[in-house]
Amino acid sequence: MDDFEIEIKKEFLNEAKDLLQNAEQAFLELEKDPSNKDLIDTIFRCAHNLKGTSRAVGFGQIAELTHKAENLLLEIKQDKIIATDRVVSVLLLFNDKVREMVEGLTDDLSASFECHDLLEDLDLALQGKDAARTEEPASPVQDFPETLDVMEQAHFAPSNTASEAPKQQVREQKKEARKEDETLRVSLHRLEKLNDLVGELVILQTLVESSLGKVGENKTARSLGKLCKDIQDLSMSLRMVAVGPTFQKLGRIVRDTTKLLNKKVELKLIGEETEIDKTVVESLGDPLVHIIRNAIDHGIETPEDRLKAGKSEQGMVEVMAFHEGNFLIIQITDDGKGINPEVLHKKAIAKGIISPNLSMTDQQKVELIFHPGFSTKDEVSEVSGRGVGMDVVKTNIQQLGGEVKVRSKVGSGSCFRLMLPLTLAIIEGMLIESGGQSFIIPKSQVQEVNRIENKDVTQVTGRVPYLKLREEVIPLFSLEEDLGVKDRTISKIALIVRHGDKGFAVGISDVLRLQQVVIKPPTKEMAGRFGVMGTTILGDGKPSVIIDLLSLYMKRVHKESAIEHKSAS
Amino acid sequence: MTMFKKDEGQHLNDTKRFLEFNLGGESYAVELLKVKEVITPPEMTPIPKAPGYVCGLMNLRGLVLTVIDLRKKLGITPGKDTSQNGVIIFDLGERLVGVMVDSIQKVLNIGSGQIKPVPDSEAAGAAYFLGVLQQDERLSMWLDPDFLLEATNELKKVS
Repeated sequence: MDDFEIEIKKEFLNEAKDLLQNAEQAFLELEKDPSNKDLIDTIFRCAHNLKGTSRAVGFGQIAELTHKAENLLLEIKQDKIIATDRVVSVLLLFNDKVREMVEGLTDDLSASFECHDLLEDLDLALQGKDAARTEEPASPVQDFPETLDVMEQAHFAPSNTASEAPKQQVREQKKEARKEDETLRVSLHRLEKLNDLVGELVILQTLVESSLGKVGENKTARSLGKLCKDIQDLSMSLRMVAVGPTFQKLGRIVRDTTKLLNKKVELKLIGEETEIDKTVVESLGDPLVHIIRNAIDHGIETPEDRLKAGKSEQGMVEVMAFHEGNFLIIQITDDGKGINPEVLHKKAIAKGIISPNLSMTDQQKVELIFHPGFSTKDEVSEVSGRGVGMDVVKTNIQQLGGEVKVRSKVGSGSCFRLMLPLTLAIIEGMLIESGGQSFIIPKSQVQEVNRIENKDVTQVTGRVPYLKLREEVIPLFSLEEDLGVKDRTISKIALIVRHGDKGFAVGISDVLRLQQVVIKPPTKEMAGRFGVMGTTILGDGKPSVIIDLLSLYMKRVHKESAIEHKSAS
Repeated sequence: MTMFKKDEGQHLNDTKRFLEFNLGGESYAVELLKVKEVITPPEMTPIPKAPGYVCGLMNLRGLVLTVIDLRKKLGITPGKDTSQNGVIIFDLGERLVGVMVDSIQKVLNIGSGQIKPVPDSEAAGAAYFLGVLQQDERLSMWLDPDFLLEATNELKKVS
């Protein structure tokens, strides 16, 4: 095993732990609410990611196991198998097993595990039969030493003969890994606290400076000011890491994918030193892997086809990172056959995703690739899977407050452009006033700001009033009513918000200004309430509440459109 | 086994330090260890849809905290002189909470003998108090910090 391989394996194990954590949470909720399709979706995505990356880094056993589980989850997703308690407990056993494997592999990268029973259970569940074995789940604690023995026997000579040499090697590897670890792991919480304090320090320093009068004459005050600025820059930069390690993982993905598909592809990495917030970079790996796989699987042609098309035998995939304003841009360009808008369009009609009468531009047709459950390959592909790829990419990036765009030209290739905020800690905020109180709304949620004219508002008894916006009629909510603000005024301004194909308007008193705000978590008492995304401290030192309009209103928007449907039919 | 008699040194261990404060005209106290700091009332931002006993959000050196009004929570009429008002920042382990009070008095050293059980007649409020602190003729109600935790958790449920 070379250093590179060890490094990506370790990286995978860390990622896998997070995925398992997510999956477990979804499992636990699923037990309470077995009919919840969103939870199945979440678990399915976790399993899918796990399968893909574990195969890529060479953990075949995990890949095999997750592949089975993924099949089972797909059947549940498509309502072919009902998620009974038995089925869920098989899936939970699977989750435990993978966790056990990941933990075992963390200690020893070449460990192997006994999972025959579980594979059988999964098969039984897949055939729609109750798995008999679930009655007696194998205890992972007891199981573990045994599997270690198995591993030693399988990979090394029996311990009483010549086993010393390989063991020694393992030990040395471990020692080396420890030596390399020269960086210090600091909890994000402490870094955030440092940032909070430094922010306050700067406010106080400014106050002291202004009370001193002419600053230029006071040498100490001047030095103090410079020092504060330096400390602030430094403390903000502590959260930033280079995208390099995330990019390097792609090399292996490209190598393995091209081998599997008998294609020739060169990967070009540009801007590896570009820095981005740690929390953003962590969520960047999966989307990148999906895009790269898709590019090689669907984009790049076979060497023969490329020669026929007058291109060089070897395809090219370029991943480039750079900063643009307050955003990190990652562009993934391939020189493959491009995305054919007509093919996507026909497919979407066949799948009933869009109506055949809808007229669309080529660009809109290409963007159908982000539609959930959309896959352009007819059969399930080993490499890019069941088409969960691109919609997962879009959701992941949007959750980070970013955007994905695609441009494609038939015959000459495609380009995906990921636009990510440099840090999750700072957002573009819109300071608004509603009923005499001010709030921050993330600017990214607001598509446009309109003045409300009385003639455009239709009151409906017992319902949310409607606002006529150009050709459209959308519900008009009142922010002060929904936040329970005491002073009632007449909403003069409407914020237009869109999510998917749904739009709605939120009436407020005024937009005060746009400004960047540092997001702080909501106080424990407020967490999860009435669409509160977080809190922030404004320039004058006063706290303010950041309102998430989507979480505040999307449920009601869906309800409104359901009523609409009923009354229409 | 031990070189000391059981009683010896016990009085030292048993002396607890309390912070005494006023709500309306009444005297209350909390264990000093639960208090992070005491500040003059800061500027506060109202929290939407919060119950009446919530004053709002404050900025404690970059940290955003919820401040509650203990007088309103306990149904006590606030005193008239507001210049004495203070906010006690409680460290409840998992979180910090600000509590608005009429005035801060002083730190009390209370021996175990001076802590009396809450009288039965106080039954309604008994849940809020851990005991009555007696110093000569004066009495202070010992407030249970868990009650603050509950009060703020209650806040979470309202929406």
